[in-house]
Formats: sequence, structure tokens, C-alpha cells
Amino acid sequence: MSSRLLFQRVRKELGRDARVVLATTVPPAVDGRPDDYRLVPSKLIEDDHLDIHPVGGALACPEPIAFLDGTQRVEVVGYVEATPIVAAIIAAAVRLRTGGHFATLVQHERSILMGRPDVLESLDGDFAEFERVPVPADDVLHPLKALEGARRVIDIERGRLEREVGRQFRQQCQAWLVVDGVIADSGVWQDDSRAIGVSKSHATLPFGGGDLERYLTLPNGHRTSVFEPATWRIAPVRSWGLRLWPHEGHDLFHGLVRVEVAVPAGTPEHADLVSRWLLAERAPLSRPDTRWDRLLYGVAAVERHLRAR
Amino acid sequence: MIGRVVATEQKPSTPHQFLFWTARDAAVGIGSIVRVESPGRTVYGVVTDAFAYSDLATPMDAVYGSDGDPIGAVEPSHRSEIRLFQTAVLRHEPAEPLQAVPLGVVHLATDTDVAVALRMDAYTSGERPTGIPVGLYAAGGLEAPIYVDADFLLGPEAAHLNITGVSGLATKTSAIEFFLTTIFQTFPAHKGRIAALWFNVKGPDLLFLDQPGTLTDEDRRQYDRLGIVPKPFNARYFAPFKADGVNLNSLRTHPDLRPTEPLVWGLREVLDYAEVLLNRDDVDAKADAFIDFLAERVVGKEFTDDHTGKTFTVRSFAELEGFFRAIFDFLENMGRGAEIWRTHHIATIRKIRNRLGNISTRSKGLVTDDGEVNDLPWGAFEDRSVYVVDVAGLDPLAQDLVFARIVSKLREHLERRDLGVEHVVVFVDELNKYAPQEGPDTYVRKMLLDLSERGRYLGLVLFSAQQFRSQVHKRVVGNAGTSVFGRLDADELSTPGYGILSPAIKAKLAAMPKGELMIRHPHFTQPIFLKFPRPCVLSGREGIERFPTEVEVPFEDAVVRRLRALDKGIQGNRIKDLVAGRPADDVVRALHATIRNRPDDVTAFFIKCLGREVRTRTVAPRAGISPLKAIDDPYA
Repeated sequence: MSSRLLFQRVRKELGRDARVVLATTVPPAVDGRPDDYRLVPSKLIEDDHLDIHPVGGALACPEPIAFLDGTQRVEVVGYVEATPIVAAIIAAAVRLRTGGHFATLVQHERSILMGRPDVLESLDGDFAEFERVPVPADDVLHPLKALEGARRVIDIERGRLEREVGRQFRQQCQAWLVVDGVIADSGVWQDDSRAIGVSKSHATLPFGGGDLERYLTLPNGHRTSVFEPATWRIAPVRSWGLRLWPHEGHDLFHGLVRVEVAVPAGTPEHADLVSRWLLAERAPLSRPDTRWDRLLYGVAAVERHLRAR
Repeated sequence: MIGRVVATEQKPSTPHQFLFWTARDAAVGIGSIVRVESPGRTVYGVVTDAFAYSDLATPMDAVYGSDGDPIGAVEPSHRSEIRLFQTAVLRHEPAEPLQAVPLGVVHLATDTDVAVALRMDAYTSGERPTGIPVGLYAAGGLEAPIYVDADFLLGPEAAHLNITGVSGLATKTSAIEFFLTTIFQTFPAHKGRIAALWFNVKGPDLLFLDQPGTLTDEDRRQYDRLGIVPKPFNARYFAPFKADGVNLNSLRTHPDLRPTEPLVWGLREVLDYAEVLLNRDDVDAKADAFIDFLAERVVGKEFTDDHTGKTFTVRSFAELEGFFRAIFDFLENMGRGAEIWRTHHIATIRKIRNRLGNISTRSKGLVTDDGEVNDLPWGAFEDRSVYVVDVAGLDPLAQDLVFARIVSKLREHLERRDLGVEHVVVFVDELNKYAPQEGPDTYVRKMLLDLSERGRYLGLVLFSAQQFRSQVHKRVVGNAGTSVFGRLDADELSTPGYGILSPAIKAKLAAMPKGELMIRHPHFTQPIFLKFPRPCVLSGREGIERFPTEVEVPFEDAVVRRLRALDKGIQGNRIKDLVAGRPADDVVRALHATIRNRPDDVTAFFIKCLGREVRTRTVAPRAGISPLKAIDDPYA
């Protein structure tokens, strides 16, 4: 019997158990970094227990709406002794959609060269296009650990760049803005009722126990009760889970996003409205991107724009 | 700037083609001419195909994304989409070294760019320009005149023009008429004089070239843009008579028009082209020999038969019949076994007699029995004039005779340089009929082949038209230096001859509107789409409505009409009185002589030709001297 048939057989057997939700594959990029895997129970704002709410049919946002995203290209470009030197090009942009068509309003790009501080200082040569960004290091560093450190720096720098383009966009445009990722780690969106964060990653889950099961088995076209994540760093936000596509037959994380808005916009009515808008953003499908079940087409359009340059 | 060149490993730029993309609303389409600019190199190209696609990975994604509902699905974002144009290179600057098209910015071509791209700069400027406007290239709000090179349209470098298009859209005839207007007005004086001889082969197509047509403001604007004055031609019309010898076999008979001149040929004119009239099976060496004998020894000469001692002067079919009769009488009198006359077998003589005798029957009206001839003005062709021979109503045999003789005469006169002009444009429509790829090797087809292969050296240029280019003899269309295409039938486009065209160009040709065409010319490395104004002459359809054909009238009235065409002051009743009771042949002979001589006093000349009437009268028995006795009384 082939391995494929064996997997089918075991799924069939598991299907007999009412407690089991069948799955096929874990969608890409729901996991984030292993260091971040945790369950951090949140504070419910709506309802006295985590509940699920149908949001109604998909409804296109009637106004121009912008999408913010960033990209990074990272390559190890060399080693000094056992210490890696990492080059990265990070970029972020906001593209405004009007009448179905996108136009880039703000865009920034940075090229950075990372490594242990002493290694960076010792480098000779013309690296004028690159900013040198030291990576804090312990005395004795595993090369792969150093690479991981560089990646964290890149994440930080990219986040900073995204916040900067977001800030510049907001200075010139008051349109609705969908941010790829969370908005709780920035003061930029603290009071911005027209900013919507959409997180595809589920490395940190907002509930545990029975609530977690309810959260992860959210039906298609439904949202959870509005809650306040406990993980905010800069500004508190309001959040809810939203299922964009049916997960049955795929995985618990398939089509599941977590939405964040500023506290003033965290009413249940607003959560329903924004959820309907996001349901409308499922189409067009952002395939062939492997994250298509959670990646909104507008966000994918920003990514493609940045990667094409 | 409208776009940028793109090249990938899978679809790289080459020296002969490239791809560029534009904004969704860029004013560029199939046939647009563009200029690619990059440091040190400029490339000109014409768009031959267009593509558009989005970032949709598979059609199934669209179904999935819309929950299977193509109509009700909410899709707030329009997918990223590309407008990609495949372009064929027209010209590189510099030409050497020839390299792949660079990744430059793309501009729509300006007037100047179009001239350079199509290499028109080489022949539209300088001391002896030879450019002839043929239409306007239009794209993206730009409009540029397109010129062809007279040296390549009318010889001597290349020559001939062939036009293909479906019937009923007036593209072929309109385009030819427009081209002749531009040729007559812009043919450079240093290249000599030019005239046109056109055959009207169907309906009233070419019968009103001397009448102004109806033009719109847009037509006038296009004429103005091309530097052409829209005015009708100086045209003379020729048509044979009908069988009665007085009514013209033409739809152009309205009295308000310049009269159509009769085309009447005699035995001499026919005998030189006798092989046209004989089936190929008929023309064996014996028949050829006897025809040659007739042409060289008998017709138009005084011939004495050694056997009979009789002398013959054969100038007409009637006299030829007498000549044949004498031969047959001689052989019959010789008795059984006498079958040879002057080395010619009686069967051969009979065959030639029958065939030639048939001509005056089948081509009655064109071929006269009496030897009077009215022909085209050989030796006196006028510069920038059109001579139209209306053969639409003729028997196919007579059409063949007209084609063969007229083209041969043109060639003879052009060779001798005594036609009156140095260049003649011959237009023949319906090449599918007259020069088919398949079918018998007719004299007309041979003549068209000869014209297309050798005519340019003489200044004899063939403009031809047909519905299906693929079914015309390849050497005729292949020798046409300039090819023009109007709307084409899908079946025709699927033939191998159109294999070099992109599917988009084929699609454009299949839906080509009136007033637009695609042209191929030796200087243009790719076909170019043009628009042209309506011809400034009356179309056949309009013309026949405005100048309807006169109804066929009785013999006497027809004679008056013909004479009135020479002198409007002719008194009809007097003419009718003159011809009343006269033999029709005498009247026709007098009429033809009058038409041919064009006298100042038409009536007097006609009367003179008619001669004195010898009236027949019944002679009453003369009263004699009465007998002395009654004859029936023997005893009286």
C-alpha cells in the first residue's frame, strides 16, 4: 500500500471519532518562530465567554482602502572566522486601492549589512549602499544562533520601516488602511480607527483550553467575541478571530486570521463590518501564494510590487 | 512615452521582434508603429500581436475565489493585469551592427518616425522625390501620410499592385480609384507621362470616373492631409455595340454624360488575335499555318487565286466569306478526291472558316462585318487620363479578345514609345476569373502573366483585384510589388499564403472596416494598416441611380441617339425619315463612319455616307398596242 493511501486510511479511521477534526497539512507561515509559541489568554471585551458570531455576507468596503506590507530579502554573504555576515534588503509600501486599481502612495527600501559589531567594524571595502547594523552577540556564539539573531534584527528593522511608511501614508491620506500583521506593537495606530491589522501568524494564541478549541474551530464566515490581547507592547488594541475559508478537510489554521483595531474602533458592530469587508477581500484569490487562505489580495499586491523591484 | 520593452529568457528580444508593455488605457493596438529609444540605438516597430493576462494562476482559482458564482461574487480588487504587445521590427538606427532590440522606453511614432520607420525618407525627399501617398496611418491620435515609391509601384524597380478583398465592401474599387487619383496628382513629372486603361468587367463599377463623388468633411480632411485635390478624372469610355449595331452594350448611356464611344473592330483587328478565339485544342500547326496565310496574303491585300484566276480583296468578314465560298466551289468543281487547296486541307479551311465566322455572330457589336473600325486613340493617349473599356456585357470570348488585343496594342505602342504616354496603368478586376491558379491555360491568363512579368520594363503596369488571392496564379500576384488587403474571408485567411501574418493581424483583416486596408510594399518590412478617404468619383451604384441607363430604343431612335451624342442639335425626325426603309446594314455602316470621323456637320456627313436612296417601285405593265385581232379568236 502506498504511503498516500496509508495516510488516507488513517484519516478515515480518525474520522470515526467525533472529537477529531480532520486535517491534511499545516498552512505555511502560521507558525512564526518556535520561540514565540505560547498561549496567552486574552481579556474578553464582548460577551462573558468566548463566543462565535456570524458576520453576514461579504461586503466590499465602499471607500478607497490602502494596504501596507513589507518584504525582506536576506542572504548570508560571508563569514569572518565562524561569524556570519548577513545582507538584507528590506522594503515596505502602502498601495491605495481606488476603483479596484492599486496605486503606490508611499514606499521605502533599505539595504543593511549585519554581523557582530567588531566584525562589521573590521570590514574593508566599498559597502556604501549598505547600512551597517550590528547584531548583539554573546561571547561565544554558535554561527546558526548568530544567523537567528540577524533575522530578528531584520524583523525589527522591517517593522520599523513599515511603521514609517504607515506614518507617512497617514500624513497624506485618511483612507482605510489594512496592515499586514499586528498593530499593537506601534503607537502609530493607537488612536487610528481606520487602521486594521490582519495577522496571519498563530505562533501566539490568545486563548487556552476550551476557548482555544472554540477559537481554532471557528466556522467559515464567523468571528469570535472581541477581546483584548494580552500581548500588546506599545498600545492596547481590540482583536477577534475571523475565519475566511472553511477549515474542514484542511487544517485548524486554514483561513484563520486575527484582526486588530484600535480600542475606539473595537465595538462589536464595527467588528462585524470590518469582518465583512475582509471576507470580501478573499477574492480575488491571492494564489499561487501558498498563504492564499489568509493572504488578502491587496496585501499580496503590495508584496508583489515590492518583490518585482 | 507609452511603454517599456520587456524581455525574459523565455521570450527574449531579437533583432526582428520584441515585446513591450503599456498602461491599460494606452492608445496602442495592432498595426501601431512605435519607436524604442535607448542610448545609442533607436528601433522602429509595428505591433503585430497583443496579449493580456493577470496574476490568476489557473482558471479554477477564479471559480474557487468566487464560490462558483461568476456574477454575484464580490471582488473589490481588480487583478494585476498586463497589456503586452508583440512588435515586429521595421528598422534599426544604426542599421549595423544589427543587434537585439534594447530594453528601452517605447513611444508612439510621430509623422517623422513613421517616415523613417518605413524608409519613406529615402524617396519622399531630395531633388527627385518619388513618393505617392496611398493613405493615412493613424494611431493614438497621430496621423501620418504613407507614401509608396513610384519606382516600385509603377516601375522600373518593381511594379504592379494587387488588391484582395471580399466583395460588397467597396474596398477594392474604392482603393484603386483613390490610388489612381493620388498617382495622377503626384506622379513625378521627371518620370514622364502616365495614363490608365481600365477594364470594367462587372456592372457599373467604373462607369462614372468623370463624375464627382459625394465626400464627407472627414474625407475632405483626409485628402487635404495627403495633399490631394479631390476631383474626378478626365475619362473616356469605350464599349462595343449590341448586336443591332446601334445601341451600346454598356450601362453608361445617359445623355447627360460624356458619350461612350463605340468600340468596333474589323477582320484585320480580329485576325491578329485569332488564336484567342480558338480553343487550344483547335490550334494545331495546320490551323496556325492557314491563319498565317490569311493574315499575310489575303486580308487587306489583293489576292489572286492561281487555280481559278479570280482576284479577291478581303477587308471584311463578308468578303472573307466570299473568299471561302470560292475555295469550296473550286474544290467541289474539281470533283471527288479534291481536298487540298494550296497545301491546305479542306477540313482545316472549313474549321477556320467556321471559327472566324462564329466571331461575327458571338461578338456581334464588337466585330463589324463591313470593315469599318472605331478603336482606342492609339498614339494619342493623353497624360493623366483614364480610358475605360466596358466589357461587362460582352460574351466571355469577346472579353478575351478585347483584353488580348488592347494589352498587346499597349505593349506594341509602349515599345515603340508612340502611345502618347510613357506609363499605363491597366486595371483588371476579377483575377479569380481571368488568371486563376487552376484551370485552362487561356490566352488572357498568358497575357496577364506576361504583363506582370515583363510589363514594368515597358511602363505597362498591372493593377489587379480579386476576392481570393490564394486562387490567383502565383506568378501574377507574386510579381505585384505592392499588395493591398481589405477585409478578407476567414477561409481565405486560413490558406498558407497568409501564414506569415499573426493571428491578431488576421483577426483585424477579417473585420476590416470600409476605408481601411493593409498594404505591403517593398520598402516596408512589415505590412502597414492605413485608412483612406472615399474616392472622389461617383461610385457605380450611385452613378447608375443618378444617371440611369437609357432603355433600349428602336433602331431609328438608337441611330438618332448615337448621332445626337456627336451633335446635340440633330433633328431626330429628319434622321428617322432618312433611315426609314433603308437596309439596316447601310444605316449602321453610315453611322459608324460618322462616329469614327466626327465631322463638323454630322447630319450632312451621315447623309453622304448613307448615299442616295435607290427606291424600289412597282412598275405597272405598259399598255401596248392592241392586237388587230383577238388572239383567242382564230377566225377573227
